[in-house]
Amino acid sequence: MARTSADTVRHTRPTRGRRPLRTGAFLAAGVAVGRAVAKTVPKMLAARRATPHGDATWLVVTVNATPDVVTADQRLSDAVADLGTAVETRLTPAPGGRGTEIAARVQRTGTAGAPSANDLRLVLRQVKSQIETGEVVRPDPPTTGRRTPGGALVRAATRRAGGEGRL
Amino acid sequence: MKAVCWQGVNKLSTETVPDPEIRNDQDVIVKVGLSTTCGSDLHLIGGYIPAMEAGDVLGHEFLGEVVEVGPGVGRHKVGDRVVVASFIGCGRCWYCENDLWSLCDNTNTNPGITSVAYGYEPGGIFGYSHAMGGFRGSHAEYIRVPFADYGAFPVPPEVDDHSALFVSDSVPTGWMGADLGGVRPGDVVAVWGCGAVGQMAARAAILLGAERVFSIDRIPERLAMTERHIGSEVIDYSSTDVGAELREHTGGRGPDVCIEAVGMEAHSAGPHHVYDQVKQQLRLQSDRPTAVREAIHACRKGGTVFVLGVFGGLVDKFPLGAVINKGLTVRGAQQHGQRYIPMLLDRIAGGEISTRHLVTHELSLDEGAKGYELFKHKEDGCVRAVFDPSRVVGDPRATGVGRSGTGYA
Repeated sequence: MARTSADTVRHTRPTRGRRPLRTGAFLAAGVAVGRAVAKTVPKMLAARRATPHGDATWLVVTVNATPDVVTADQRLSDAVADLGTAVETRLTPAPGGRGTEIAARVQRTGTAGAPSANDLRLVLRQVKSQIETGEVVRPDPPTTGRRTPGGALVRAATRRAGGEGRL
Repeated sequence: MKAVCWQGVNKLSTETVPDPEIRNDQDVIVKVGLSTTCGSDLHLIGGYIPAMEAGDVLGHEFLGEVVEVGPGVGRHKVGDRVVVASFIGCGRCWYCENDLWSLCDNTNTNPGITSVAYGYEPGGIFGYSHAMGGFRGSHAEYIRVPFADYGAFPVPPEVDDHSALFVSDSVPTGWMGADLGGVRPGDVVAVWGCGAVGQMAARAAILLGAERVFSIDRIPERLAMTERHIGSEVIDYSSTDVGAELREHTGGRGPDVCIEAVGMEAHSAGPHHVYDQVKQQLRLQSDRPTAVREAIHACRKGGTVFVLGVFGGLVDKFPLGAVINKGLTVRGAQQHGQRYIPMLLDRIAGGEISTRHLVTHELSLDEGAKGYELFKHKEDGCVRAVFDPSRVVGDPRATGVGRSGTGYA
């Protein structure tokens, strides 16, 4: 037998007696979610704040070259020297013959003039590209100076994108 | 120089932009001979991949002539006729050395954007937004080609421009779907989509020894073209139950390999198309995975589904339960063109693969917006609108070798 719309309404409409219970459940759920957010977000933000100069965080790239080749390449030591004395590096052979892992971190939290995590990532990527290919590829310049709101967002993203992401 | 530029969502124009220049030692500058529209451009034009800036030059599938060579280039000289892989590979990172060229570590100049979305960044690509490197596209008179020793390939004299053009992207993408999908002699293969990539995937499956290949679409001209030039059997999904047809043709088993060559703006005949479109327009999902779902359901137990269509982000109602419980292998990739291009040029020269018929419309750069309108709405039997920078508006030369008869092999 076909169900009428009236049936549907009758079955789905909440009764008066149930309403306070439901409202209470929603409120309780809202409070629980609010508490969880209040607890989690500051931790996440603190972790992100800590990352740029966090002693525990190594940023790592794998270069497709043997440790001998990487060690002998002056471009790595020059780039690290340019970052200042607070940067510590270590080289490890990558498993499976995948080359060499170059890890870098800032040794002391809050050192004046110490590079940010973005600076460090950018340099690691550039060194990797130079060792592997001999150059760092450059994007094409914009074709136009025309500014649009969407374009401003894209430009803001691309200004930082070379040093962001996961390493 | 002239170039077809993105100006905003669904807004294109042909502009005068600065000529490209050598910016790295390993670059060449190519004078573009032909450059084709591609279905994946529509995702950029429609704003589904929101990393475009007004003035960005579109186009990534092209060929032309080398006119300037950087000091670090060893394999090319001025005057070479080359077809260029749409993904840019450095040739020396671990991914390139392992023939996974679209995953190159050194060519995406904006890794921060896509590593947020995907975990790690893919390689750079011509004319495909700042998320994919910010390189200018090929719908222009000239284009800069980084790492040209690895991405530009000489075209054999016996292969004409109209045939070689699609070796830049469609042919290797299609080949990759069949190859990495694991097509073996005796297999039954189903391919969703009879655009250029779908046609090439079907042809690849045939050449790799598949016993039967079914191509699925709804556009009559494309189905007829696929049947005639590719040699696969065709299924019109608008007039039949695809799953039932495939079961019938495979003794109830389902295809061994299912290749999806449709992408994030899929259509379908059922109500789920409306559902997907509403969710996509409300930004509750970024992509419409209709054909992927159908491929997963249709595939035989223990079979392989290869996703060739371009997807940008998140999809809804993905049948993960079917993947697990049927023991499917699901793979996907952007094209690793450099892995296949020399072999594919040889096969085209040998007459095994026909591509000229895909060129249904040829236009000047000034007709950039018109070309994409024809292509997007599949008007006038359009399969690919191709831009020829040497043309002018109202050019007396015939347009579309694929329609004029000369494209038929």
